[in-house]
Amino acid sequence: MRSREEWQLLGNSLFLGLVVSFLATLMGSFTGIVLFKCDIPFKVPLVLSLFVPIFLPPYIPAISWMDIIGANWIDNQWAGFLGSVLCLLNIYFPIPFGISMLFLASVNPRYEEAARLIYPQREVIKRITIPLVMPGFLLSFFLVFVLSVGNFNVPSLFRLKVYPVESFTVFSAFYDFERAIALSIPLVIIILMLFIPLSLFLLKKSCISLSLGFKNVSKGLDLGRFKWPIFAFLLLLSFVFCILPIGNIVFDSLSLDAYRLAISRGGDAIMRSLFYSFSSASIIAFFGFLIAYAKGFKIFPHLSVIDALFLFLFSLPGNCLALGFIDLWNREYTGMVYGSFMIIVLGFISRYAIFSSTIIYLWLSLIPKVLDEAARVFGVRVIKRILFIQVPLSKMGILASWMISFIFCFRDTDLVMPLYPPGLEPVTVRTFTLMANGRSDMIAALCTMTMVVPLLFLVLIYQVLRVKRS
Amino acid sequence: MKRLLLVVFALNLIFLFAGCQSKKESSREKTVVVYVSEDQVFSEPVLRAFHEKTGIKVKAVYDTEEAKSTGVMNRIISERSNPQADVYWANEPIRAEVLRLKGLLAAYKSPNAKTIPQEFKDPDGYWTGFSARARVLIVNKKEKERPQSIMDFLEPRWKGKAVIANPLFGTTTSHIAALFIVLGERGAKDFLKGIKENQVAISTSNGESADFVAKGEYAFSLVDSDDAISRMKKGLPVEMIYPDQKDKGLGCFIVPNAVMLIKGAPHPEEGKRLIDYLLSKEVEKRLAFSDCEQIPLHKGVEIPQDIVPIENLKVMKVDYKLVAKKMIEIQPLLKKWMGL
Repeated sequence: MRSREEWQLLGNSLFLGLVVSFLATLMGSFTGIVLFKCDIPFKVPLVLSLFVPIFLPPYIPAISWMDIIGANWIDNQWAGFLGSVLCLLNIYFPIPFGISMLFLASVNPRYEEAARLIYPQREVIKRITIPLVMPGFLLSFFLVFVLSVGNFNVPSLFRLKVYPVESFTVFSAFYDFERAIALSIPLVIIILMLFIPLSLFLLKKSCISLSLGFKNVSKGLDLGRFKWPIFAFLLLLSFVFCILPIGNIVFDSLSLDAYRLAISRGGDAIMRSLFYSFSSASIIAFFGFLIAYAKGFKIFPHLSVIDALFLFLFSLPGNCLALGFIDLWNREYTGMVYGSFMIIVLGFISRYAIFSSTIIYLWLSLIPKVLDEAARVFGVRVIKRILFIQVPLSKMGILASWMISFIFCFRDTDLVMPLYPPGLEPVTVRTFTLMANGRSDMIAALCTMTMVVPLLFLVLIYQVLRVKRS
Repeated sequence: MKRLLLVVFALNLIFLFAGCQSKKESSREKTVVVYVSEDQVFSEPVLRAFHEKTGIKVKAVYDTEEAKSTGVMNRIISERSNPQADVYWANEPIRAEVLRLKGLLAAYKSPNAKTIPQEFKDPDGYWTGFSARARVLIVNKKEKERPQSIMDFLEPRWKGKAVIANPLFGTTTSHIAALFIVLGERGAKDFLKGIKENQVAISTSNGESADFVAKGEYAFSLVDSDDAISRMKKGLPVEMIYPDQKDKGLGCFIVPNAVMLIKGAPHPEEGKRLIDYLLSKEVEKRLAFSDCEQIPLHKGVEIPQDIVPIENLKVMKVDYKLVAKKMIEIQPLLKKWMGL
């Protein structure tokens, strides 16, 4: 931090991050609660439309927004700030929205049922439900904050001067990699400083209990006279966050020829992206569970250091992390890893492991420890306790962490761009490389497929698991 | 649980098989690894033709506008201890010169480079230019007047009506560095000051500048010729002007592609064959007739009617080596000028 300008850039980044994470958490959590708990019509299309932007790399909705707003509008820093907030909200709103719905689905319904005997439903939500899902809100706030302060593409498009610009400029214009990495450290330190009190708070909240086998479903709370205004608000959100930016892309792609061309130019890359994301998310969920279990039951000391390490890797700009990977793996005797898909999978695991280790740990901490301890007293081995007690009870957490990791791996660009082996690029990279002077309808078709294919894939997996369970 | 694991394993295999199907290759097949800054839509057909002609498999890493076309160059620098690329196809020679200064290139004088004019190649063979773009003015057709010089950015009648790409990245940096050579330190600084005073907007890239002009949000901009041509071919209301063509004008800044062999390349022989191919008249003709309409540097290459041959253009006379050195020198100044 050499100059006043750098401090100012850091201040801009933090302010942007705080505003985006506050608004995203507020709106996402409210929307999640309303759509999960209340009698709102057209729930499924609304949920889908609000969730879909998460599948796109941030740069694509940003370009779409720029197209809609027009460059002339952004003639000062405040306009750039508003544009960046709008666009980042669009991109990260699905995180608190999805997490709040997930936590709501997991709250033990008996608490709410007991409270309903005394209070009206609205009070139950206020006094019981919201405090129970508060860890989810805080987690969302933190995730959105980390992602927003580290984002370079969106503020850059909206001409907002933020701290990551400094790191990117030093990296791309000055080729000074050491300084680029050093410049990313202040943000990482701030993020780590936020994470410590957050994790302590979440641990204190672990006295709440999950719905151990009881399904918490929406009871269709009657919103009364607020029903239609809230419905109108949700429609407006859906219009602003989905129909405007995403509809703009989908509309551009509406020709068979565009899709034929997109499949011929990017079909193999889509399959590779599915493979990279599927395998990375599976490994992340597996190790995340083991780490969370070991941490929860204090099998090894100082395991929270691993969380700090994962958070450090997650907070680093993708290009800096990629540089570290190149330095580490681009050696003669590790060529097999560096020259193959394994380097991408390793990169994804390092960057996104924080999702599973945190979410699953949070989930495990909600399961009463007496269950595991009782089994241990009866001589049940640790493997059996994991397989028959912890895994079934935390399966929602495991699935959620898997899905979040899958989505983030699928949409990743800044880590994978400098790292992918020649000829093995994922679809996000292929879309970006074809974007320069490529046919706009083909690019739009590729973007649409980048949203739809993983979404269908996740729905398919969910259906398979549901059929198996039933 | 076992069934679930089997399903996970099977799905992984399916994706892996499908994703790698098109990349199947035998271990004995000759391969060349090329890092490419030229747009994929233009470079990929050329590399495919090379594969068809020679049987050598081409593995390419392409650059993106999102990474300001510096992604692959950064990758070459960071892989310096164990190079993965054989050849770098850069979309301009200035950064090639930066790589040479960093000692990352191997000299190779291709037989096909002999007829390329001396000013577009390194005398020691570290890089060779081919198929050039020009830095041109893209103007919206609804404008009654037409700017003819880059000095029009400073004219009061265009105040707040022009846009230029961020000079910290891409060919705009090279162009500004070239202006420091031809106008001198003082002249170039005055030019930058004038741009600010005349409220010229700054875009993130040349492509974005061209789009702004096409939409009528700005009257004109300074972009690469392929950015202008691609918009014209899409039927957008823009036209292209080669700047400073009058007798005492500065001339038009020419940006040839540049190809180079990487020091310590894993497949140097295949790399040399690719370089020979890229420097052939056949490739120059192909790129001239493609949508980017690049200007051939070899004499006597067939070109479309709307391309101005290089010998008919008034070209800005600069030494690319000096421009590269100047570019490194002025980066802090440009950063400050951008308010960063």
